[in-house]
Amino acid sequence: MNEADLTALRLSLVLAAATVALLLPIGLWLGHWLAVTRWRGRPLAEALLILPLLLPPTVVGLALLVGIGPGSVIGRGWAALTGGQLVFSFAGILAASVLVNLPLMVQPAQRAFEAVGDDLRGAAASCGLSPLRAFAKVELPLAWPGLATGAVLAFAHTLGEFGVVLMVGGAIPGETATLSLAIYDRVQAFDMAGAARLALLLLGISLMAITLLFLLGRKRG
Amino acid sequence: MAVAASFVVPPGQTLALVGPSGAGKSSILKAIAGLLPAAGTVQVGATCWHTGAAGLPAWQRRAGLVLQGGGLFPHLDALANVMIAQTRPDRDAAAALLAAMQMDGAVIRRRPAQLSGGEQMRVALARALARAPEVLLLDEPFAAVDPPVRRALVALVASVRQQSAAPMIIVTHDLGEAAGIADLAAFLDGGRVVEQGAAGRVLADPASRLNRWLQGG
Repeated sequence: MNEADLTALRLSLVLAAATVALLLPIGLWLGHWLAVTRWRGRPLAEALLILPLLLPPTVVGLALLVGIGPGSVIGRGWAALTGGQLVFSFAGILAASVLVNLPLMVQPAQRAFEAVGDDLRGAAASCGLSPLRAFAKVELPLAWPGLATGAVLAFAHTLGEFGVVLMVGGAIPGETATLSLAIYDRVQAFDMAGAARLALLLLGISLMAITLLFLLGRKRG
Repeated sequence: MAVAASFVVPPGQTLALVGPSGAGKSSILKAIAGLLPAAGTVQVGATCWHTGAAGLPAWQRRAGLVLQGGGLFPHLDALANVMIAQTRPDRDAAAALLAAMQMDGAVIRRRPAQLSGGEQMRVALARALARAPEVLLLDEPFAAVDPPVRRALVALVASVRQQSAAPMIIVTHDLGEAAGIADLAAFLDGGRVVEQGAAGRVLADPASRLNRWLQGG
């Protein structure tokens, strides 16, 4: 591996870790809310949340280019705050990655909180636990495998994300050129051996992450 | 289904709520505990827990609730299941409550999945007492256990009755077993209390709605 590959690897790992770090609190809150809410609009909220997973990456990428581009409210706000632009930057691909991976984090979290059930929530309340204490002492310890599943899936998926990252970030070395984009570049340059090496590396990391998840599940079981 | 009920349970007395499945018995317990929305008044001692459509949140109501199947927290052992309900966690006091329910030794360090149905119900009863409840609410405590275990649980609930002066409401299908404990009985059908009174009188009256239901009429 050359210096550029190492930079791409480092960038991919940082992007995946930052995505998970941002998604964990969002997934925790949204997953719990969806599990307990009796709001009639819940199916629509669930459908909207799963859309990023179903839409083609080009569509999500285009929406993000428009939504966070230099002409958008968010883009202008970001520029006023940092002096730079959100698209074609690490912050931009991080925002894209969080959006694309949102369903992978929220879905398992929601299912895990639903599995806790109203009876145990009721038992916690009748034990005198405030909603916050019930969350910390009962719901979170029971739901953490679902959160861990979401975190690992989001991490592995971010490592392999290609289309949205390319559209929102371009492929700026050291800034937005992730490992999956480096593989694409190698193929474009007919360096199949180099592409295969990077692909194997990506496969190895993803496999390790998923195996770790199953190991944790098995230990718990 | 909307449930309409009105009754008074004096301190130290037990009301048995009896009726067919779906009559609304469990809903009444949950409404008293603040786990279901309700309209009306829930007065416990001098404190009004609920009036109109508003009331104290469930966690601020000192209700000793035993849910069907126990409702124990699966990630905690028996001792921790009791301690979590204490205002100030006290291991010795929790162990004493469990011992009063004939649960002592290594068994109190087991999680619910490692306990029998009867043992789980004993832990649930100990947990219900851990908060020094102002009212005890027991939802089908004798269901889903074998007859010998059921008889032991009935005796335990009777001992709980002796330990706590809090009014007690037991939801049961089987009034025969609750008869020795219940001072009052209310028969629910279709979400309404259709008959209530002293348990002995209601049970002794062959023409009562309760007796007709018990005999399949």
